[in-house]
Amino acid sequence: MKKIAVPLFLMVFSLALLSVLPMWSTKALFRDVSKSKISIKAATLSLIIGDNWSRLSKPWADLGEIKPGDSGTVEIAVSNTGSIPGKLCVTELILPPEYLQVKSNDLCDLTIDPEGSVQIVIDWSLPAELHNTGLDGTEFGFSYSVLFENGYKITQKVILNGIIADPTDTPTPTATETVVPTDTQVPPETPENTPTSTATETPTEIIVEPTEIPVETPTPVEISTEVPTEVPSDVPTEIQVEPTVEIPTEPPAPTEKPAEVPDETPVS
Amino acid sequence: MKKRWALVILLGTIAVLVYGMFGSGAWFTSTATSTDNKLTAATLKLEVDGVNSVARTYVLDNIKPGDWALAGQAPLKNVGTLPGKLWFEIVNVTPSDGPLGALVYPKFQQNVAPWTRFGGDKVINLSVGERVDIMELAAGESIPIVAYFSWPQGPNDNSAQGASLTFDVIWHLDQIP
Repeated sequence: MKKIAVPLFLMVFSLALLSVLPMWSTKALFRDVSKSKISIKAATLSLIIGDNWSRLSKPWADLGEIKPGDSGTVEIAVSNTGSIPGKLCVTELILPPEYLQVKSNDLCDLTIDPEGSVQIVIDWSLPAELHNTGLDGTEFGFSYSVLFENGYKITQKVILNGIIADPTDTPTPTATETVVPTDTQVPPETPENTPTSTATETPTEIIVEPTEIPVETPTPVEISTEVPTEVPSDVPTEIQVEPTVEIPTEPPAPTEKPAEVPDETPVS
Repeated sequence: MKKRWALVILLGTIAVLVYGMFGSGAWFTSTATSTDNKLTAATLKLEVDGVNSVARTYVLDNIKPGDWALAGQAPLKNVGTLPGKLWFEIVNVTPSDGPLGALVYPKFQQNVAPWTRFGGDKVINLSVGERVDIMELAAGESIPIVAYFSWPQGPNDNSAQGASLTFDVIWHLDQIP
């Protein structure tokens, strides 16, 4: 009896187990899904200096041969071709040589909208006084760093270079002449026209002005014949003093002994 | 000897009884018919922005380094009759290893108090296929979820300029066992 009952029990239990297991293994529960599609695109921030990118590896502006007294202006367009606005900051990266005077407009914290642009304006001058400092033939170069940012950061360089011309090749207004007016006495009434070291003025203008100054004033002899009050106001004061000292206010009265007195004495 | 016969007789009687019960099928039976019975299965159905299956596409343009940009809001609703467990995963990132997906973090946030945030600890490229649990959603309950994308500033940002990518968010609603 036992021999039959045990196998029979095992068989029935196995059948029961086999029928229950699939119920658990399938996990037949409800489920649902839904889908969203997402597309994202990064902005662009693009900087163009000048008309294209090709100049970035080369000097942007070659000033060529410049000579003392020369000056000029370089204008550089900086454009934003990206899709978002950007902030610009232009700073001197390599300072220009000390003999070259450079001034640029202040371009920091300046927002450039997409498709917008701004101008970097660089004024340069080579003062005329530097002709004698032995700089002839000297090459020079300087550059500006352009930072453009809005999340992205873009940096580029603007390079300018040139060479100081040999004076033998450029016999134009001599720089030595331009130096002289700065040392001459200047009439007090025309201080604004005096030739100073401002390099923006051309040498020819500087040379002309001194000729208008009455350096060669009338001699004391000529003035002595006239009343001192008639002396022109623009005559230097020291010139006015001399005749008043030497010239008597009234001519001496004729003496009764003309033979003792020379004819020329009353005048001198 | 008597015992053996007694056992045989007992077994024989049992065999006859068993045959009578199972073999002939001679049970008392009675039938009664109940008509118009209706069996309705429970439902579990998820709608995103009022749509089941594929909801609308969310487009985010001009994202840039340093941004915390909003792509849009997706109201999720359990329109079924059973409660379900809501979770999502990101799939089908294209391109799969693009520069933008390597820099941008996807963040989903409940747009009602307590403003819980879900996911967003990995960039998009590394979030593919990862299950992010949101909450249990009762029958008829809805929850507004907003999708943000954050782009922390870093040294490789310029490499993703102008790049774009697309991906799918699969919203799951599973029956709670």
